[in-house]
Amino acid sequence: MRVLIADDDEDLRDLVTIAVEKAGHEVVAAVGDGQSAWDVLNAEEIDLAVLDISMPGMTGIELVERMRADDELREQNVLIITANAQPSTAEAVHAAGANGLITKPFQVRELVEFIRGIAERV
Amino acid sequence: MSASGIAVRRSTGAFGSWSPLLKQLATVIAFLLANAVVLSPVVVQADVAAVVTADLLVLAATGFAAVLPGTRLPAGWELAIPIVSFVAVALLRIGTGGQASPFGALLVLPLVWIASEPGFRNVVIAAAGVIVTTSLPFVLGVSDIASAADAVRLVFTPVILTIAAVLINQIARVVNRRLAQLQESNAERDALVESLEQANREAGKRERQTVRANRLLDEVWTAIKGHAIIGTDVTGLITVWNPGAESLLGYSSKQAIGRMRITDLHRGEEIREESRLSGGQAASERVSAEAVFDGLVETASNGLRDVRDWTYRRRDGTEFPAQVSIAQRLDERSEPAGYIFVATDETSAREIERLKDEFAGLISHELRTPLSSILGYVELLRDDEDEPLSRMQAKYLGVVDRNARRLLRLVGDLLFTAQVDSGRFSVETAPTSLRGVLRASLETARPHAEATGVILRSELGDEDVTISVDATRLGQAVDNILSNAVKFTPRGGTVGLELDLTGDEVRIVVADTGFGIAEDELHRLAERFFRATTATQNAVQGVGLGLTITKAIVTAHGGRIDISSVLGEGTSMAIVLPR
Repeated sequence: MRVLIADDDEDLRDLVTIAVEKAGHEVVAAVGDGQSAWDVLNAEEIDLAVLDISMPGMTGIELVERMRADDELREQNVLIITANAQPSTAEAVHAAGANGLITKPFQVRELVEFIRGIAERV
Repeated sequence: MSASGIAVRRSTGAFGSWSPLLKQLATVIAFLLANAVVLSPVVVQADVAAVVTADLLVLAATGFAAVLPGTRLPAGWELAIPIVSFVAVALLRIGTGGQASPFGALLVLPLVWIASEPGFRNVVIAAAGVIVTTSLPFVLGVSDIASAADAVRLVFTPVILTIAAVLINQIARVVNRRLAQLQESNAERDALVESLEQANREAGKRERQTVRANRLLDEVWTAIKGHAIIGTDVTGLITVWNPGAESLLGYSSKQAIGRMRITDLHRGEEIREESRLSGGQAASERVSAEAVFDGLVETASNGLRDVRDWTYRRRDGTEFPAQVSIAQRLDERSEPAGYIFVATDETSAREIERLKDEFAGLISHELRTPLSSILGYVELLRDDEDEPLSRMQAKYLGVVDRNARRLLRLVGDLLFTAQVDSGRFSVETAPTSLRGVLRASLETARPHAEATGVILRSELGDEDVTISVDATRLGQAVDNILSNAVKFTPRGGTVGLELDLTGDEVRIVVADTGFGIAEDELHRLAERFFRATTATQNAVQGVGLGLTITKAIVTAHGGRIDISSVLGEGTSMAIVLPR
């Protein structure tokens, strides 16, 4: 499975990268802002996008909304990671059409399991 | 009435307040003239002894008149003077020819004096004086009744003089009465003038007080710049407009008073919406200004307190959030006279609220992200099967992990209290098995209890209870009081968790054998950042948010927390929920 990671925190980006690799998948790109993520999504063949919500340029939620409105990316698998544990955030993520939500801090094990689950569906 | 009243009572006779000496003056002058006549070449046969005696009597009477006002003798004694004068006149007549004496007319002087005194008794005295004086020359044999004319004169003179005495007495009575009336009306007038002056002084005082009160009101009125105070009549027409309203809303009082309605400042649809939500009568689609105004003052017109947020429109068309307090005004007969609106600009308060929310969100994000990295990388190190950690490394990383989680909980607690503060905290209830919630909390508390040597006991009963609660939040509340109990209990102590069902209540009781909490601190436990003295003394970890959060959760469920504690023996805390 080819994975895109977008998070404005470099250390966390690396942590997610490790989790993806532990799950046995390939990280195509790990970027720090919404626009770069959008560019990668349009340039590369991606199976799963792991997106942070608060990123400069475009938030993770805006990115999902844009993907769901796009013919090519409509069916793309998206996992949102956020530091905001409010119920309202979960609702917004769900409404935007993401496939899953993980709140920070997360256990690496939990993230690995989540990615494996998606991979099985794909 | 004071001074003039006494004057009325003292005044005797037609001469009023003339002194006896002044009254006597006429007699003195008459006697001086008589003596002058006796000593003059005009031939008058005189008995010197009688004339001198008469003079001495007049002198004595005059002396008495002079000293009488200074003595304490009763007023009646004054009549002694004219009576003595009668005697003196009688002697003078006897000494100057008796019946033929030219000084008979002097009789009139004491007669007038005595007859002018009030009371018929004095007429009698005067008549007696006249009779004695006129008849004395015949009685003493100085004169003889020589002719019929003499006899007639002897009778006629006293009769005429007595009639004169009666007339004088009557005239004096009338004059006296008039005088008394005059004095009385003078006194009344004086009293009236006095009371008028008094009233005038009072009015002046009241006016000064009113001026002072008005000035104070004016100053307060002008000083209120941050609040718009607007008064209306019962129909909503503006009748009062303070300087605060001028500066907040941009209309001068001239533009507002009598020309604008309070509803001109409101959004009509906002009032209709509010009215619809509260099921008010103005919910209909009537759009008249009256209907909108009735909707606005519906609560206040029922005499209830009405403080709500509205949107107000300024003269330039811009709008701002305003907190408006509406109160009904009553007139002096307690009939509705209108309404008072006090509006406060909430713009900066809203901005502060927004910044607070934003800050809480920022803190949440900025602290959780690095904590995620710390916890994630620690997990990677501890789970690395290729390069296992040494025992010491594993222990140290355990400390890092534990403290990172502590920080994380603190961030969560701070965010939670911020939510409660801003009123954004609510519970989402669903039928929940209480035993499930309590078991999960026991499992959460167990590792810490085991590590600190505290025995954890539970008595959950055989019967499960399912009530409608927010399982996550209630679990958090039970976690908090359980972990508090474990933290407050020294090694070897016990913490028990019990589920009691009593009537229409469910009690989740956590009892420990710990340090206890001082009685005067019990009521402060739910205060944010408050820490019991026993907590700081025994170095119990925490920041003082646990019970604040627990109370907020329990309150949101319609429940309460019961606490009892004995220092040195332990504490019992119960979450009481309605069934």
